[in-house]
Amino acid sequence: MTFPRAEEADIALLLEGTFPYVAGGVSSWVNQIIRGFPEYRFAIIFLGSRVEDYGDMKYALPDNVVHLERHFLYNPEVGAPIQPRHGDPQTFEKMANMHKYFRDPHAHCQYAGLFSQIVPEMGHNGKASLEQFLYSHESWEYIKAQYLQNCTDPSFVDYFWSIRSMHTPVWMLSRIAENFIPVKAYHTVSTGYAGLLGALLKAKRARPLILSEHGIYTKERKIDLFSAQWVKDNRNLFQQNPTEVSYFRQLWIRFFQAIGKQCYDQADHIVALFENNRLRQVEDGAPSERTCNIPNGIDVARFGALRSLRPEQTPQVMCLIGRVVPIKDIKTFVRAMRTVVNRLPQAEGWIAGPEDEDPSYVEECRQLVNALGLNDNVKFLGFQKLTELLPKVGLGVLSSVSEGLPLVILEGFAAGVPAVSTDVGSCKQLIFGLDEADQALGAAGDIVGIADPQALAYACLKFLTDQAAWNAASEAAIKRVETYYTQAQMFGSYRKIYQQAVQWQA
Amino acid sequence: MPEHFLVGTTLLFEDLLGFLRALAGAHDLEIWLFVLLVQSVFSGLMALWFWRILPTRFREPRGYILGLLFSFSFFIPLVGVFGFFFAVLMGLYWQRKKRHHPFDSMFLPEFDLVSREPEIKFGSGGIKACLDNAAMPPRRRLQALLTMQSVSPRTSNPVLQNLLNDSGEDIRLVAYGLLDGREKKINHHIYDELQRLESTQNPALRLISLRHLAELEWEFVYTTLAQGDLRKRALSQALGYLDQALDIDTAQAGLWFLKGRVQLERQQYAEARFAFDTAQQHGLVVARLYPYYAELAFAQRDFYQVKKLLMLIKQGQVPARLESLMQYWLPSVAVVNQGAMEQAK
Repeated sequence: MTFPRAEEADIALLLEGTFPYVAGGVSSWVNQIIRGFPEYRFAIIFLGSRVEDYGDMKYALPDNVVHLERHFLYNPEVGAPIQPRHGDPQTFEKMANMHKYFRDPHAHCQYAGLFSQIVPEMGHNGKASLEQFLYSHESWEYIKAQYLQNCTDPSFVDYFWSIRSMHTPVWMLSRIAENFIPVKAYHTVSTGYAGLLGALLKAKRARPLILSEHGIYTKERKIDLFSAQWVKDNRNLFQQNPTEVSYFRQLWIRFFQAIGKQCYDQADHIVALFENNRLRQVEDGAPSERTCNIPNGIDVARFGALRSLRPEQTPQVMCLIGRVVPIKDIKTFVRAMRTVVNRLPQAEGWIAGPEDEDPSYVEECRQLVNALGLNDNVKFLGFQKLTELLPKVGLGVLSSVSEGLPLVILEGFAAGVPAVSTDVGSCKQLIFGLDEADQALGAAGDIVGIADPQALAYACLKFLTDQAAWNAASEAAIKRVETYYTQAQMFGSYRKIYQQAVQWQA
Repeated sequence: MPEHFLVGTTLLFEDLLGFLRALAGAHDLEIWLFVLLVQSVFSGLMALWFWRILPTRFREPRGYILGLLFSFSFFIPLVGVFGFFFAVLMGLYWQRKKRHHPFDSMFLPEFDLVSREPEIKFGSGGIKACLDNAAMPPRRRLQALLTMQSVSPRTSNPVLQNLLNDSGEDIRLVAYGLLDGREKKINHHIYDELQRLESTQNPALRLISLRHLAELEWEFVYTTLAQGDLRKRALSQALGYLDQALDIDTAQAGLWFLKGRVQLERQQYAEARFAFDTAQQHGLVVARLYPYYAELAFAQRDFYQVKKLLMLIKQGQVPARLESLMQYWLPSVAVVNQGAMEQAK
């Protein structure tokens, strides 16, 4: 397959595990942004885990995407031949100090600039090259010293290989940054590896970096890592401290915190979707003066047209629109359906979203449907066109344990479909309103706690069995989305940022 | 070895020849240069040959050893090589006495974590108070939450469920992750057990699977993972499996005991009593049933019977978690004690 190639572009989008290979809220947003700015030529770097984890593109590339390259961080590369080398003590001292800054940015703020000094040395012949990291005597000594000083896991072997596997992608990103075409501004849609790539590009090419965070990447990684089964813990019963997570877990969490912090340090604009996330960014080290909120917006007219297609009587259909992945907590929705069906036997629960990301979780959900005897009431629809789906839906449901500002709720609102959601991300703000004027519009549904199927079921039943309550919520939903969450408002805010970044001169 | 001997002898001979030529009449520069060239080549070959027959541990570092051999051969023709040969023999002799072993046995070092990790104290209120207090620093609360991993699900699940509505998102998500992990584990076992059940017609094997399934469904209820309608469903599933198992073998005291507990949770008191009585008839130690009979009596508002049964429990070993309950119910132990003893007689 051939991808578009160009010699240069206006804006580079740095995308990790999303558009155009994964369908979902963030991908739709990226698609929306590219199409919303036809005046700019976009270049895309897609970062994935392994090539076999992704199929074909899920979105048609807009015409103004002039360049696309994809890289897979966990596909083994043919490395340089193994040759022993001494390593430059001064460079390794810089690295040691940079790591002190990563560990405690406040106490070691004098080392904040070291990242930019080390980045130019990361190339093949540099003093901080991958070969120096993998094969030099200095590197070995440094890793050894760090183990002795900090590690609370007894296995040096596991420590050594964790450090190597954890850091190797950093050099891969550095190589990507080195070979990338010239652009006027970089825009990353998360921290993590894409954010680090943005930081590397900024340090190498000195062009503005924009960061738009939908969820908080570092936080989500942290939660994943708390329960990840693959992280080893070699401590025996007597060595364990029940109040501490295993050292390797801490190591991985700190790694993602450090690369997230680097992205915050280098970014010129740090955009959150809503205030709570912005505060979280500041808490995680983002300089407050560079942060701002730009809520998502949608094409209200397009979805508003669907209202005329709705049947007179609200269908007793609850629909969860989202990928079938653990973070959406589909199981809570299925469990809630058990309670709903006990009281409304004809009610249906639809799960509309791609199922290819986590097949084992999909299987667990299907087993649960089976175990709860809901085969006739719960349907897995796969990826659906929302314009066709929404008129048939009575109530939008989100049972997620983590969200940003979900587009599917806004799209449902525009189509006149109220929503019941868990209290995550900005859902409360979407349902009940943010400020006083917004709240005066009324509730566009209801909010329940996470992983509480009973509460979710009762909240849904309230709207499915009371047409007046449904009508009021639907009306509030339409007013709210038309007033506060239009595409034009979002594009207006990004236009300013893009113009400033593209025109920036050193 | 004969091959080595032949090569060695030839090289030695050539080396000697070069030396004699040099002595014989080296009076002009060309001859000198020629002699030096021949001497270098043969010294090089000599060094290589000698290096090859050296014991492996003497061969490294290769560059230095080859250089040394070459120098001996070049600068001290004949004698140098024999001298080196002699030195190696001496070396071999001495090395035998104190050979270096690359691996040695040693005692396992004590891995001391105590000095590494900061001391954790949760204050006078303990872990629960720390978790309930949203004003505590998030790191401290997260640490308190992590200790829940090592607390039994029966005790920790209700605490974790409370935290699902916590104001701190990290706390909420970690609590969710822990609960979800526990639930997933039970579901996984249920799925495996159902596969086993479907794959066999052997009554003994079916009995084992049905028993496991009933216990797993009960686990959902016992650990409070299932609530509301799902709890009711888990109880009726457990009951269904137990009935099927008892159809296969009606004399299983353990199954009757579990059935009693399930019925007690379902508030089917007559059925629960019947199940407990049957368990006793089939050999279950009656002392194990006292707490459940007491619970039944309490549910049916027969408080005198509750006291009496608690008295009987008190005569044996009282589990720590029942201590406060005992103190509440048995303030005048002596009086009731006497009555209970008489009744027991």
